[in-house]
Amino acid sequence: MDNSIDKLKGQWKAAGSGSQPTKDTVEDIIKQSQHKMKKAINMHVGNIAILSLTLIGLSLFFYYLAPLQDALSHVGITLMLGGLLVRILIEIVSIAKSKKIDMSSSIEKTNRQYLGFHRYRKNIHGSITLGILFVYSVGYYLLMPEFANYFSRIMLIVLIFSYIPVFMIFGFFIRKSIRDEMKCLDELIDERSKIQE
Amino acid sequence: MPNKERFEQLHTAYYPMVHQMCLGFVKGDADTAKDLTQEVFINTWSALGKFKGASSYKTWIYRITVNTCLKYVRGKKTKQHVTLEDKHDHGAEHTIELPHQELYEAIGKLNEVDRLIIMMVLDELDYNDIAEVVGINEGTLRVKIHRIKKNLKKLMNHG
Repeated sequence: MDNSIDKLKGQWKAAGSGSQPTKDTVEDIIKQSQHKMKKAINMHVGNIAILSLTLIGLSLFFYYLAPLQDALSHVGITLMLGGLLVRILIEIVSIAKSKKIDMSSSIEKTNRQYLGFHRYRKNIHGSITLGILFVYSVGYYLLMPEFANYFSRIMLIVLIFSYIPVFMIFGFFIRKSIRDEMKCLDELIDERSKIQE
Repeated sequence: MPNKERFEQLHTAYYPMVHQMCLGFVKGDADTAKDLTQEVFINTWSALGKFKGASSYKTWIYRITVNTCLKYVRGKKTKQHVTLEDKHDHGAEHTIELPHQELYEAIGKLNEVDRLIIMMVLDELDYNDIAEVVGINEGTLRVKIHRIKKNLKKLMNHG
């Protein structure tokens, strides 16, 4: 056995003797690294910006254009805006968690960090996002009694039923995100068993 | 901002080591190995500012290499990451016949973690350093290496 391993070591050394870096690659790597970091920041900031703009837009809408008066409507508005605010906070925590993953740790530790991150993401995409969507929807429908005072019956029916496809589209994306996170978790658990077996 | 000069030195010193690990990990697929090596050094540059000197640069770069390789294969399996996979998703079609292809193919038949461990053994990294890279104790590692060597021998004898 040891002889054959020594033989393999010899082959391994011989196989690795030819690879040398080219001169311009260090500059390329630094540029690519900066580009990758910028892209990641833009993506995270983009998500938060979209959610924040929606929150600001809705707040301005309810403050200036549709200052609803009923207590039930106020509860509805609070639920809708509160749901969005919680989602923004979750997104910020998610970014902080992803930044904590250290690629220079041991395989076991990095695997544990990834597992923690994807479990968190699975919960966010699953029960928490569904909860937020439910709270947001309840908030939306709580506005309808007061809307009934200002809109025609047909307009009210449109407002009530047009929300259903939006809800279904959200549901589809939530399901897809959970599946992606589950796949990733399965891979990480499988990798963990290979480390520990 | 990480030190560019230090990074350049690390790149020159460890490029062959990282490249060969990547080549062995992707079963001799030269194009993917080149991109994966670059990904390792992108991660090295990003992490360089946080290097505290608790281990040698060599062990530290090994850790980045193995984690980058595992992340790559995970991304490929879950099809979530489309950076390297899109460019080289056809595996064997892009494989150039290398002089030591048989060795790479035999190593490639091991599971991903075992593959990385045996490559560090072939690189003659100390067992305590390998244990540190993997994150298990040295006793467990020795048992693991014994089993991997047996497996590899079987694979090389039976194809």
